[in-house]
Amino acid sequence: MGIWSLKRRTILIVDDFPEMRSTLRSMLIPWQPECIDTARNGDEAIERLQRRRYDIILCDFNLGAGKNGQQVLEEARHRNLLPFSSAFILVSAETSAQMVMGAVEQQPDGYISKPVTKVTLQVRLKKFVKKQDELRDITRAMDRKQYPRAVELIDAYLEANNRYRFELYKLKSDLLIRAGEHEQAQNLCEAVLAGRELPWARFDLGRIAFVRQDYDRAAGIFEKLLTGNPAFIAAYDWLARTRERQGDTALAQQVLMEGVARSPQSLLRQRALAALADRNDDLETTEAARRKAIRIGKDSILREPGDYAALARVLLKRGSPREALKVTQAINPEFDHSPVAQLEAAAVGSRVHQALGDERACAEALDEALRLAERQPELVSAEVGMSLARSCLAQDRPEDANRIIRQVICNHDDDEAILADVSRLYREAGSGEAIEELIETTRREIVSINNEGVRLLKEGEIEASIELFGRAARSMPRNPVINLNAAQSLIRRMRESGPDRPSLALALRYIQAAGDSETHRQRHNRLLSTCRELAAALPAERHDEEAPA
Amino acid sequence: MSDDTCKPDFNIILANSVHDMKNSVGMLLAALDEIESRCEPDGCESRDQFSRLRHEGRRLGANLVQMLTLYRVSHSTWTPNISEHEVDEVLEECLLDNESMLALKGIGIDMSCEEGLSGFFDHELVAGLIGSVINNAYKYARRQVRIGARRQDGYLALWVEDDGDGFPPAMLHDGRRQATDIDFRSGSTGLGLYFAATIAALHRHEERQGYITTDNDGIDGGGRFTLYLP
Repeated sequence: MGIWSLKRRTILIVDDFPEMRSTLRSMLIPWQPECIDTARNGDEAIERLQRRRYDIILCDFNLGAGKNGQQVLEEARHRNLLPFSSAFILVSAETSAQMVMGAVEQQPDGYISKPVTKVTLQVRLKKFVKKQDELRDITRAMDRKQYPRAVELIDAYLEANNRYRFELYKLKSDLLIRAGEHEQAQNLCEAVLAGRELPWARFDLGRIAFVRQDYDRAAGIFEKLLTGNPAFIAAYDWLARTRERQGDTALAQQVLMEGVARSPQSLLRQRALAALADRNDDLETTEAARRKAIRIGKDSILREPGDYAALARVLLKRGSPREALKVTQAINPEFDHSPVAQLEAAAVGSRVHQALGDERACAEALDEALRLAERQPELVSAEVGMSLARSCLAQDRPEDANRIIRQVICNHDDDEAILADVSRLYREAGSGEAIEELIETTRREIVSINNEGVRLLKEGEIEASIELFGRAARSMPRNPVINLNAAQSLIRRMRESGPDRPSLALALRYIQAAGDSETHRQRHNRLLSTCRELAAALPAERHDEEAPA
Repeated sequence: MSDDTCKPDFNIILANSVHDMKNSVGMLLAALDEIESRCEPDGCESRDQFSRLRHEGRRLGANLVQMLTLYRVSHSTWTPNISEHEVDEVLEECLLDNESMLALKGIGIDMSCEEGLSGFFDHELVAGLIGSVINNAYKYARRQVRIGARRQDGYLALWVEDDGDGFPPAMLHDGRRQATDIDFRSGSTGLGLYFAATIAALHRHEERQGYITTDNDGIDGGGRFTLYLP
């Protein structure tokens, strides 16, 4: 076995059984790790991860009540507590194939199946440690979000070594897709597939076709993938998304239901199914999926007040206002009266009270919701906005409805699915014509702001352009193009008169607010890397601002 | 909902029980390790029994895993998790895992595999299969078991051989010529081969499929099992 140790490595053991924790600890001690910390449950694990960085995390899948191991992983990644250079290893009695295929997006760095023997542990850890050391430069670049640099390092590594070849191809493909380099990613996947039919490469080709909005091609790829690998769950999610873009929501729902049947324990998948079923007026499925999403999400970082509000809405549609009221009343306590929770509860509350015939409570809730929406327009998601507008229309307050809906259109002017939902909402309220006009004028306004700002920029009126886009971004805080243009005008000024921290921070905030939709991915990434260059040119005072989230 | 949902599905009950039993066997083996670690290496009278217990426990565990895997394959609820692996690492794990059990019976184990050899396969399935073949060799080997791997005619060949009396004629099998027509009425050993052939066949690449062979070209004419993966 040669000389091998865990010297200088920090290890976290997560298991709900004290015997298991001490068994693992005693197995590890002879290899002299720098430290071994333990956690009894998911919350403790997250706490530990917040406090320090671990090289290796051995986490049991089943952690008793509360989060399971997969949810710990999701939360840790979501909150940026897990650098790429760490190895998160899930310990489970299931076979890895079942676990790998069931996961949505987040996969651990490895699995160890139970029972864990000293030999298995040694062999696996040795492997992870060796890999950690060999790929350290690459993971470090990834931790700093220097994706193009990470790709260069992967290429250099592959030129000199033969190990981890396909794993690195997979990583590179993922990085290229993230960076919007679709052409290169496609060439890579095709080259891999010419040698061997690997599901991930086929899957990445499908994702690339999807982001290029070539939906027919994407659907074909995902279908073929699923024929050969019916347990490749993520492909159902993407095929459903593709079918939805093609406008076939019925088929999209059918596909997603297959995925849910195979792997039901995913909050995001249940949420997506509920939204689709709702569009298809399949209220039974909507309600069941909403309930499951809430149950699965109980201990998850991914849960949202909107899950409860949406359940209340479908209960109303199904004629159960009393039950809807109960769900609505749970929102604020469940989410500690967060601003979003207050808004969601007030918005759906007004409709629940209306259904129960309580006019006064209905009006009060609606007023409160409108006040909250006005004060914090960035909280108004499409769902909340539409729910509010529906209440306003029902309360015969068309002007309030228009104001809210205008906000929704401003934030989603290039999202056809949302605009279709908005139109349907107004048609059902008998104002079909009004909405078409509202959408049209709003879109024209946005186009003219963008044109005007870009013209100013071209003519060198940089300050005026910053001012114009800044104002626009305040009034439509989620609009991608406006936000990206606002960032662009700031970057232009820094290019000409040198970077400064406040402008850089503001530009990064705009880029983040623009969201991460595939349509603007390339521009998004370009602006981000320009910001990084500008940050590098700053006087070296602090370096913690160089890594935008 | 139809009436069928009220009737228990025996297959599912069986699969769940097997899963449960498999975990129990794992716990038993872990407890056995712990008891053994408390015994003095040379002064323990129960050494032989520990070795036997471990062998039988692993056999039981491996059989349960086989049943579970065959169940999942036959219900197509499952596809292998195929990715690239370093073969020497996988074999080393199998070797280390069985070394002490074999040593207690005075059997040595070594491996021959060039470094850097890699292949595409489901790690758990293949490691589990090699492990259970080694466990089987425990019964027949006199002094030595050898595991190894090499490239052969575009396949990755992984083998386990021993210096025992070799396979009886009824168990000699050439997967290149015979398909999976293994007769497993003759007892659990037949089931083992059937399982091995099924695992092999789950590995496909282009038009080729994995297969197994058994022959008596092992150490000094002992048994040799070879798994060929495309």
